[in-house]
Amino acid sequence: MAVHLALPFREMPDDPVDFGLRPPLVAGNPSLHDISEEVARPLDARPTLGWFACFAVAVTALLAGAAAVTYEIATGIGTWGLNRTVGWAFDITNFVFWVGIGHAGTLISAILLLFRQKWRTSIARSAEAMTIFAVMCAGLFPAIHMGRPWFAFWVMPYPNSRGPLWVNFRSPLLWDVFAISTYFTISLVFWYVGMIPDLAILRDRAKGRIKRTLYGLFSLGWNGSHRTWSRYEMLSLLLAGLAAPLVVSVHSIVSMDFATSVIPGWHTTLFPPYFVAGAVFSGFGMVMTLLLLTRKVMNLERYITLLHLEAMAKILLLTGTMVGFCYLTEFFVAWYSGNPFERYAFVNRATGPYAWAYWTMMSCNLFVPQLLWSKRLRTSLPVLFVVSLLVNVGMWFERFVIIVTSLHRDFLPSSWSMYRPTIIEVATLTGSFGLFFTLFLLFIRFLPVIAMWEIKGVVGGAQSISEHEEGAHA
Amino acid sequence: MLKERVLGCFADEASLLAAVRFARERGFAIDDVYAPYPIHALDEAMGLRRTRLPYVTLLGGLAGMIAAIALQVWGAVIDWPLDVGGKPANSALAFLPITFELTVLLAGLSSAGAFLWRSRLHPTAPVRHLAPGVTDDTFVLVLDPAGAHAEAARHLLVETGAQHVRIDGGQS
Repeated sequence: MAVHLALPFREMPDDPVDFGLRPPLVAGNPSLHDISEEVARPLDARPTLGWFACFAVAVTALLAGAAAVTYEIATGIGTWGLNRTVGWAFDITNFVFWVGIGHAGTLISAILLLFRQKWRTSIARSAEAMTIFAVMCAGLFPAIHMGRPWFAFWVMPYPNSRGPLWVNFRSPLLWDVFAISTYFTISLVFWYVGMIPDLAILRDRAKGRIKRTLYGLFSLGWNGSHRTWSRYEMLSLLLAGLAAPLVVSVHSIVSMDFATSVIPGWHTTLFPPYFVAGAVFSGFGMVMTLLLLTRKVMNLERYITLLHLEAMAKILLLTGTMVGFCYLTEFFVAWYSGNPFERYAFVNRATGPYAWAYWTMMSCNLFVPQLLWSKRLRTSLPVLFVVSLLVNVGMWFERFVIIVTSLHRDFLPSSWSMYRPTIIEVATLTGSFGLFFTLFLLFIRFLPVIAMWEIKGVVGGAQSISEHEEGAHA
Repeated sequence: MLKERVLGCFADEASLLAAVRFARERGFAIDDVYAPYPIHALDEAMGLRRTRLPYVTLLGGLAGMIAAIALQVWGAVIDWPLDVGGKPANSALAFLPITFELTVLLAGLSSAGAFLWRSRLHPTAPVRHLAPGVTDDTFVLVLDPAGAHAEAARHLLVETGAQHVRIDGGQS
């Protein structure tokens, strides 16, 4: 938000050294008009061939997923590889994976805003969009997992005619329903409210009637009045203040789905912080992947600079190491607890039939990010791209390892079994990626990827003060 | 209907701010300022009262909290005390997560709703364009001459370096 973005310039306008030391957040000192033009131009032009190619792939994946889900619902969840012992597998893995991805957006827009990290401006909008789409993908899986998605509304408490009958308010699964729907709603409000001034810019420069009408409807008559801006800034701060603890609560509550059970490998107090760190890590991995593609496809290299990518790489390194530390802590606690079931669960993870999944997770999440200690590697685009993809893979496997390895060895060896996904499950996962990328590609096509007004605040404030230092401080 | 107003367009933040301060010193009432981005120093320069939005957030949050506690206590303790593993029906700690979520939900929705309502922003709101490019790169200061002669306000705006000055409404 520009209030804080512009503050340091105001507090020390006499210190030109400060301007010299930091590389600019936006390259090349564009004028305010240039910013609207450059961000909005791709929305007027015909999409590039690259965009069409990506869109075709995404829609195909989405259709494959839709076909798989239709078949599964028509036939029953017997079409999945689930069995008596492994009752949660691919679907819940995918659910936790997508919810995790959904954490970076709000973290960037809320927590980094409260910490006054100016570099977040360029990437906040697309990260928030990513959050919303990821939470939508996440929400699909529990609904499908129920087997009868048309009764999904049963998870909501509402007065009914079945005698006194309520949902179980003491169940973490129900907490999840509230946490995720609240998170989705607040993220959506935050994203939309943040976009109103930009929609007004688009409305005012739109040539076609349909575009002008649509942008006009959604920009709610915004006219740039400072009385409105003043309240707007307060609203952004309030929403950020509310969203920041919300981000932490969501994945903590998701982790309680596991932690409040008595399954070895799940029953641990480490889970909430461990899940939150993992969520931020995976979210930043996905933001990195998307932004590397977006800045290329939409020609936004000036706004999403190496500085932003490097800052995100540092967060990847930090959170990856935190996650790795949690993996090791889990092992230590299993040994230190003296509980043979706990010990077995962890030894089995690392050396049992799913050891390949465990070591994939370890390599992608703990070892690979260590490359980012090197400045040369973390400023190399190909390296960042590969690392971000591996982080996504690693974090998917983390959830797979947690869920499947803990479940496939029951307390009773007679119920031990193995789980392997069917083609239907794989197609459903593919479909969720299809949905995610379809929505994201539509977003970069029709809405401004970069918050123009925030960038203007950063650029305008700085330019104006360096040019008119006397005037501003008369 | 039209109140007489005098508009001055500026090309950047600093000259706008200087003009706002100057106009207030000269005792002109500032109708509003239009800018492509929020300018922090303007709140003080225009003498705006601090928004009361945080109180709405507080009230919304409290309403959410009370509603969540009432819902859970009614559902799980009074109306349908289900025995889950022999735990007491009124296990208040287990009600915390949902209470937190509903507090945040109602606080957020009521703040956003109050903001839109107070700022009169809605899908069919008419767009008043005071000057071309006001959402793009133009800063507009609107003075309300109220009693003083509009010509004096126009003169002041020209003096402070406005690139374009216009008198709206009034008798004309």
